[in-house]
Amino acid sequence: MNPEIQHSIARRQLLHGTGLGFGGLALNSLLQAGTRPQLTGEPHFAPKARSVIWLFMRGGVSHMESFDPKPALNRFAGKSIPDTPFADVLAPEKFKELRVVVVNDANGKQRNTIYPLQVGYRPFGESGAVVSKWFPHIGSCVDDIAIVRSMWTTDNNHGAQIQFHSGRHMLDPRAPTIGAWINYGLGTLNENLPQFISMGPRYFDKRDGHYLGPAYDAVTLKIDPNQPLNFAKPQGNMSAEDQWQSFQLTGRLNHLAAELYPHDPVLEARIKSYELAYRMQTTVPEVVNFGQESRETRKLYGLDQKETKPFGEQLLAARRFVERGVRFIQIMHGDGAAGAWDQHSRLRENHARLAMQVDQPTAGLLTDLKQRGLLDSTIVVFATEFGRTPGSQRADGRDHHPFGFSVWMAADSAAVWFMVRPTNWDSTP
Amino acid sequence: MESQAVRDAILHLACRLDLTQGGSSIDPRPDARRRSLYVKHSRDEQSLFLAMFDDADILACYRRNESVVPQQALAMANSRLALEMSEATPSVIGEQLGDQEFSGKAFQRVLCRRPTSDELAECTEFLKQIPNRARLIHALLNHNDFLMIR
Repeated sequence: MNPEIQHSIARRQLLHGTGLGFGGLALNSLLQAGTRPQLTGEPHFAPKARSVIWLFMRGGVSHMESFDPKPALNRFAGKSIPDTPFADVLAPEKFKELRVVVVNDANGKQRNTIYPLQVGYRPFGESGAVVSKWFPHIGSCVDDIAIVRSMWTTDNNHGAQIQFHSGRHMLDPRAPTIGAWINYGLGTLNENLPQFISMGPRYFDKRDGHYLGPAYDAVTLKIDPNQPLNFAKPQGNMSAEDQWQSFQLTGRLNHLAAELYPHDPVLEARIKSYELAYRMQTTVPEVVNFGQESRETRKLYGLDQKETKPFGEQLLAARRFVERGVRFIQIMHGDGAAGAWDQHSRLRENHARLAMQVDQPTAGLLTDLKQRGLLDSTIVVFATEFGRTPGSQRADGRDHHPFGFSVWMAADSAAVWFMVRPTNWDSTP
Repeated sequence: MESQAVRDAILHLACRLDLTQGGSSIDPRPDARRRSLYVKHSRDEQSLFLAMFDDADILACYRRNESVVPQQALAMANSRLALEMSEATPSVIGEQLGDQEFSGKAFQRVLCRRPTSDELAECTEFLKQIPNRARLIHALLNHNDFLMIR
């Protein structure tokens, strides 16, 4: 409250000041009580990971034609599931967990006519994990990744993307996403960069912070050194010097206002966001400028081919952000309302094309992180919202399959030599 | 303030807000001058400036969130709208006024309150060093109290 405008103490100011004051006193005495064990802030096990690179394939990647090939599909091709030895998987109890948002959707149905694998597969690496031939580069890194083949979800439509990121079904209230939690819980390693960055298309939900607050929403970036952020440069004749002067005056006035309103969280957030915004103008374009990267590195990420370039650039930027201490870099792949991987038809053609876009850059990222010693402190996640049905939809597609699908993680090598329980031949858990 | 009010207020400060009532929706071009109410707002057509602030979410029953993110600071600092209106506002306040009187009036026009003596001193000192009143308006537009109603 402005003391020169209003001379009496305002009701809100009184409540605010005294309320926090008494609370603060109590807390202080609690924390200083000599009889209590002191909290050191040290966890039982020293954490190794500092950053996460989160790759998400929107639409639903076929687990059977990526990281969980099912040879039995070829053996029973064209048969109906009740006519195979595995008819019991259709027991109604198995479907009770599902919570359907839109009942009359043409998709998200049970498909009973077995559709054979649309691509070959082979074991890779020392572990001998079987991966489809659409992902040969990731296959070559298989000893550095842990495939989780026992994923399942309770949403039979693409709201499962939200469920995967927040742990809550579309029908539940919105909750913070994993990137927001990491930003909130672990804090910042670099004051000049946002800690939660998102690249590529978003899912339905445009926010991340939800009840943690908008300060934990992702900062969305594009790979364009001239304009990686919206409004990154003055759209008019204002020199850097002019801008700096205006910015400094705003800063001084905001700090004066902070003396008038000492407990205003929005004002505090605004001052912080202005300071970050000012620094981001120069730091972010520098990170997405790959001028200093060698030809070998560019090639590793597939920047020399037009199919792999867009995803490769995002991954290379992700590595550069990790080097500078950004906590969480989320990269979504696959445009469109539902996501490009949603192959209700023409699965062979489209999965082959999409896999090609991501396979080499992703393997390049793993190789690059490993040779720079960054894989010890970085977790790479490769995920999707659900798998696809073992039965065919239309002539040449597969429907949504929430009952079993695959994701994988790469991290410190000691942590990844396991593979979680595979799904059954028909992809039920 | 919600995003539409932010845009309208910036235009209004410079007396450039077109108050015409009715008629069809307009394209979300950066040089549009009509009230934000008339700017098209769909999944495919949305004003980039409005989208930076607390806009109604067409995919969530038109609910709004309250947000404070660095992208908003960049939009206020660098958008053509904010820069052009900063240039146009000083003549509305009064070219002939002295620095101190101008600063006080600018504070009232942009932030709807009188400055404290410290704030006034900051502003007049700024104008003494940089005799460019548009810069002062621009700095005030970026002040927290312009976006935030107490």
